[in-house]
Amino acid sequence: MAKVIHFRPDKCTSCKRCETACSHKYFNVFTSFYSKIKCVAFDEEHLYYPATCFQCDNPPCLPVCPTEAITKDPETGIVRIDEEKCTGCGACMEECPVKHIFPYDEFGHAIKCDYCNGNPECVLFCRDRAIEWREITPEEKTEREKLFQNLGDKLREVKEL
Amino acid sequence: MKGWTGKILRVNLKNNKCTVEKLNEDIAKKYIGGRGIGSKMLLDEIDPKVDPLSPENKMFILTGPLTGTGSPCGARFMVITKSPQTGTIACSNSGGYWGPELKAAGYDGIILEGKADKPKYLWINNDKIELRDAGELWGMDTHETTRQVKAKTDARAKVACIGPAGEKLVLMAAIMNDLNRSAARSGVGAVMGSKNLKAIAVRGTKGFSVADGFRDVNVEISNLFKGDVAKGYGYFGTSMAVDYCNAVGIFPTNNYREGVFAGAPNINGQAIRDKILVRKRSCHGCVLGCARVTRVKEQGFEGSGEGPEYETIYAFGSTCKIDNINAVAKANYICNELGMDSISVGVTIATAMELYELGLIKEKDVGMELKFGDAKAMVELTRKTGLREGFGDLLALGSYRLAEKYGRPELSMTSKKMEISAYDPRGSKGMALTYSTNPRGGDHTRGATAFCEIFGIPKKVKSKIIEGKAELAMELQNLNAAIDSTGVCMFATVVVQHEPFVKLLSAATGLNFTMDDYVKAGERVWNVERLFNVKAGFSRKDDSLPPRILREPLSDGPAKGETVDLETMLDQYYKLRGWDNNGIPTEEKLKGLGIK
Repeated sequence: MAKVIHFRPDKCTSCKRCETACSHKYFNVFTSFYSKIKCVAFDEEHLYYPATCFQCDNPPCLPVCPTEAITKDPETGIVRIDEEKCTGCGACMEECPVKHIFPYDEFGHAIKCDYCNGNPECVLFCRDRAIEWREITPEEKTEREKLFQNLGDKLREVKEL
Repeated sequence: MKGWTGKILRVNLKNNKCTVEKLNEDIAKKYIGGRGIGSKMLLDEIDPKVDPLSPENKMFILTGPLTGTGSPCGARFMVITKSPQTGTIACSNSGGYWGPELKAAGYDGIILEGKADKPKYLWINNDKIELRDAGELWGMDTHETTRQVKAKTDARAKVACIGPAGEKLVLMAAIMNDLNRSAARSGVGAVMGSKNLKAIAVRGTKGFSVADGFRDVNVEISNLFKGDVAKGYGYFGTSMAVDYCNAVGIFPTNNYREGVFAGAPNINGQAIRDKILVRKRSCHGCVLGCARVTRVKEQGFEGSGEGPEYETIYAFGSTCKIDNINAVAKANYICNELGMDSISVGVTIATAMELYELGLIKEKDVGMELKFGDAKAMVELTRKTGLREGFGDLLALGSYRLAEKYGRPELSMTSKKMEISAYDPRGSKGMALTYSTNPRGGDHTRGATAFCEIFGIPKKVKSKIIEGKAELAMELQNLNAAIDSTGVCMFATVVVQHEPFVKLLSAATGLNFTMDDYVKAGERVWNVERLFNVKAGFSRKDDSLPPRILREPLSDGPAKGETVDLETMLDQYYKLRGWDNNGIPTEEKLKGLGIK
């Protein structure tokens, strides 16, 4: 089984170090806007969800892309967006239940997490082990699916993270 | 510039004018940022004799070069203005996420001038700055304000705001950000209220950069946060200090008449864990996670939020002789929601309790009984203070003005009219200098010697002697002023001291800061703050402590029989500082630091 970024929301303390790590690595600046991992906090309920793209088994974003810019690597499971092919139409962003595909330029081009090709920077900066880079057990996979569902429900009314 | 965004936003509230100014590079190098640059601007831009609540007072909100960089504990911003509570420089630090967002919007800081003709809120959306009507928000608590402002701007915006306390000019009013983080002390919330400014919402998507190589240094230094102290912050939060201080007899109890509180086990870090803790929380970039997200279910005290911290436990707990952590947390929630400094409010209530005990304050004045240990009365008066309701209108002026009104100012546990913190100087002698020479008044966060005297961090020194304390106080004060200028939380330095942050500061800015430069910057900041106070009319006579601490020996516990010889300590301290015998910095000293 391929490694994933395993999310453990109960361990998260909402420090956003994952976000600064990501935006710094890819855009050389600090802002959560450019980060492909977003720690989503629901303050009223005291819940923090550190999450990137879940790299779904059947990514809902994939079939809606009109230019077939989105592909899933059968070996690593990583879902990628081909920058050249992306036209910035926003269909994938709208389709993602957990809103983890982001526009990043004035043309609306989409970016998303690709696990840093197997060396995720955010995991290195997480001090609370709320995100881990490892293989997960079938039980953890079930938990992960529940988390996806849960986060999707909570973000139903949200347009963009 | 790297680390700094290089830009400061100046907002004139009166004529609705916003301008963007360049941050002066020389000033940035000499004063680093945050507390340093803010203090320098205050000294340069306002008349120290100005009425703090008049439109002529200005407010400087500054981040530091490490704010928002993912540096360990680099979340901080500093609010600097003239204090309505003390008449000195006001300077309040807060974490959360607001400061990093401001930098991501492209600004190191904001300068607020004048007074809006009616309630407004400021909306900073990257380059787009708007002063908007806040008529509907006026009167709302800080939580509701935050929700409403987000709804009116962007759900992702970060909000700093005042509550009813700031609007009503409670002298202990705070500025709250990200719901429960506060720039609490010295009445900065009242200054914001006097300017008719309800909130500042920020959304920053531009980001800012640091010098090359920062990332590797950050990884290396982030890995230093190991060991018991780091773990203690995460496990107990600051409340870990309760047991330490109580054990050595410096946990102020009964309005500072005792140093040991029998009820301490009911309000310590373990009690929080057992009774109210939901989870721990971190500010931006933090590697410690000292914030306590808590929930109280006890009837009458129901609520949810963050806290209490160690100081709050003293203020609403031991010094009011209340050993109910639910009540302490509830009073803390009320402070957060109405926007107040929990230390000053709690200590003011303890003063009222002593005046009540003496028969000077009557039941009919308060509208209820006000005995030490009465948790319900304490919580109710906290609420009334924030709303300036009934007797709360008087409490809103703080402990000194309250005690003065009843002819007993000496019963107010204050220095420069600011309520002192939870380390009794009688058993931790250096704290006498920490409180009395602190530019913002009686407070522990400007180089608390108790860290050495009580906790042995970073070195153990004897607590009950005065020898060496002037040197210690000065050293810690300079270091603290420097870290407060970088945008990093002082708690980080409790764990790894300062050298790692000198390294990070150099790495972020690409400039070569040495430890010497860093300490010198701290000393410069300290002298600038002092100079402001001197020009405002302060001198040795104001570097005082409550007579109780100078003359009444502690009656019990490990620090029994102790008082403080403050005058001798001040003599030594001024000499070391290069100030004259009246506590005024000499021309030579100021010149040497490049202040004049």
